[in-house]
Amino acid sequence: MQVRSSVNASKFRRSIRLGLRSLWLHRLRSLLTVLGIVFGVCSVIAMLAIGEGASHKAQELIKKLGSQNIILRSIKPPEEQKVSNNQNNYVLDYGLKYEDIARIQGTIPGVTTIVPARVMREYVWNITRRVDAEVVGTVPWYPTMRNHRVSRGRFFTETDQNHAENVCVLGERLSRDLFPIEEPLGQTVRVGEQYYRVVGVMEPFVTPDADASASGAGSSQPAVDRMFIPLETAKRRYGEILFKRRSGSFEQERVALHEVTVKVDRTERVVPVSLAIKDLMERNHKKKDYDIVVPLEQLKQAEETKKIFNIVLGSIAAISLVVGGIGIMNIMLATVTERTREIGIRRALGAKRGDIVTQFLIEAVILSGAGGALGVLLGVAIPFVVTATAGMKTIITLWSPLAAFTISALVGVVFGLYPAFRAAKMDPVEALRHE
Amino acid sequence: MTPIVQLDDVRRTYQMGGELVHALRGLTLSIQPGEYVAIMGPSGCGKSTLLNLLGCLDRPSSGRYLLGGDDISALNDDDLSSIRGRRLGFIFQSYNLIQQLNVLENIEVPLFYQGRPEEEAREIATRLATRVGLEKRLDHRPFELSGGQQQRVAIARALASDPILLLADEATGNLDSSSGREILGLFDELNAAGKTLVMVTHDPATGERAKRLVRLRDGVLESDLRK
Repeated sequence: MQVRSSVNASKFRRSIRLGLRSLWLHRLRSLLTVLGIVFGVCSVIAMLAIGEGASHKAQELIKKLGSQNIILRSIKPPEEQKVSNNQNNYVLDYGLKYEDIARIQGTIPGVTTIVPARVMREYVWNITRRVDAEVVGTVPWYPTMRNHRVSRGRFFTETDQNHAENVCVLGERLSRDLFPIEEPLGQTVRVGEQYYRVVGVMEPFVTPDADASASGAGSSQPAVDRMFIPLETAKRRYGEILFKRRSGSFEQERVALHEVTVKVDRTERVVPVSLAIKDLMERNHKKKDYDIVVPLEQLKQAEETKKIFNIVLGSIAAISLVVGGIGIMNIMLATVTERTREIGIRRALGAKRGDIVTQFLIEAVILSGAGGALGVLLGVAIPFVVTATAGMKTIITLWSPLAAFTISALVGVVFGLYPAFRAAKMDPVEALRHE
Repeated sequence: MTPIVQLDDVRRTYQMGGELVHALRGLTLSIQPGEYVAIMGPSGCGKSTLLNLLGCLDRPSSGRYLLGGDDISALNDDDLSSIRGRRLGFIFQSYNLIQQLNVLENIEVPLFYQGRPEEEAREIATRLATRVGLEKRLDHRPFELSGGQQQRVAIARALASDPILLLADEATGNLDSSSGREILGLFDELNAAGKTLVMVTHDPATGERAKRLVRLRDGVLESDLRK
């Protein structure tokens, strides 16, 4: 048995060598035959890598928002805007209220933490250096909730909050703009008439990207950087009514909270809790002056989109492999006819039908396998070129080249079977007479 | 002694365009070991059919064929292939070498299908190539050889598996007279060394070289002369 299997292995090895030689004899023809598979495999791997890169980035951004979080935001109701255009000193009263927080926390089970935030667009000054920024009044546990951490110094504490201290934490970009040379920690910045001591600097947010933000990551990438102050401080320094500079006039708004992040204890409960919050909000707000964003739903949506993308790609791959396989079948049929006499000779010299099948099958598999390998090489190279030239993130998953190569080799088997059996079924006498 | 070939009332009919063609109509023939037989006859007399039957490329429609004492009429395709490879050696009119293989590799083909180890096959092929006088052209491809040389490669290939019967089909038909003489000389040598040879030929002079002359006409034996 041992001897026999080693003999078979040697026979197989020699068959492969023979197949390679026959194909090499018709180099151009072989190359043209496999091009279909090469392009099919290469485009699928490349597209998968680009798609994977894009969706990975979108998912990262959504994850940054927190998959257990539900984010509520105040938005200006559209009909109010018209009114405010006519009456300049009308005070707009809309958005999330402190009562909303209390209601959510009090009535909906599964809510663990709530992070309220007030957002004010202001100029932040360092002596004469001025930077446009969002001043965010929030609570000490904001960083852990939003997955946005402090890189230097500290975030403000409960004590700062309770005493309404004038302390602030700067966004990374903001701190660079305000303090290009000096160490920001311990320095003082001015907003309006108030001075704030810098106690910490946030780590940079994931680089904002136009297409990623379009995919629904929302306010995670503000156009301007943020400065964080204790919510209590914000309440005392700004009061309830905010003034907004607008072209030619002032606009007054009464907005208690701009943003509320609700954390749910378990991922499975995020959707029911979000529905409950929606319900609750609808009952208490006559106008739709708020917006609810559920990162988990966006994540699911992104995954759904990716699934569709993969199905489309899979179909393209299947079609191109079938087309490539038909090309191989075509050329193998021509080869079989062309080599009818050789088949007759081999049969006369002792080749069994199985030997003939093996010979032509090996040639078909070498063709498709080489096409697959070439396609994989190109398909792996293209994402690098795309990343280098277009700056797009690409991810090559390990399984995609492996699967592409295996499937294309299988295509050789499937589409090589018919020509190989046709070759084997020839009558040796007829085949020997063939010119 | 068991005859190499024993044909008993062998018939072979073909269906050709709705018409039955009787290529062999009851042939009985026996060939002993060491014989050198020439089969002659006008075209259409059934000599090619006979050679195909002897070569196990075809099966009789009725009758019995014993090759080396074994009935091959009942064998399946795989067994027939195996017998062709192990017991028979073919020499064709148009040499029938495989163009993409060199001299040595062509000689090795029957051994390859028997699954003989590569080194052993290489050794046998080298020895046989030397025997037919091609030791200097081992790595030449068929198109680089003359007709006579190609036919010698074919003879070496036919000898590779040390067959009990050599079958030659117009082996000198495509050759000029001097190459033809060389090949026939080689046949004489092989027969002298004990090989059993059957050749089909048109040429009376070639037929004369054999020790036994079998004539066919219309699918039956016309004459059977031993010298």
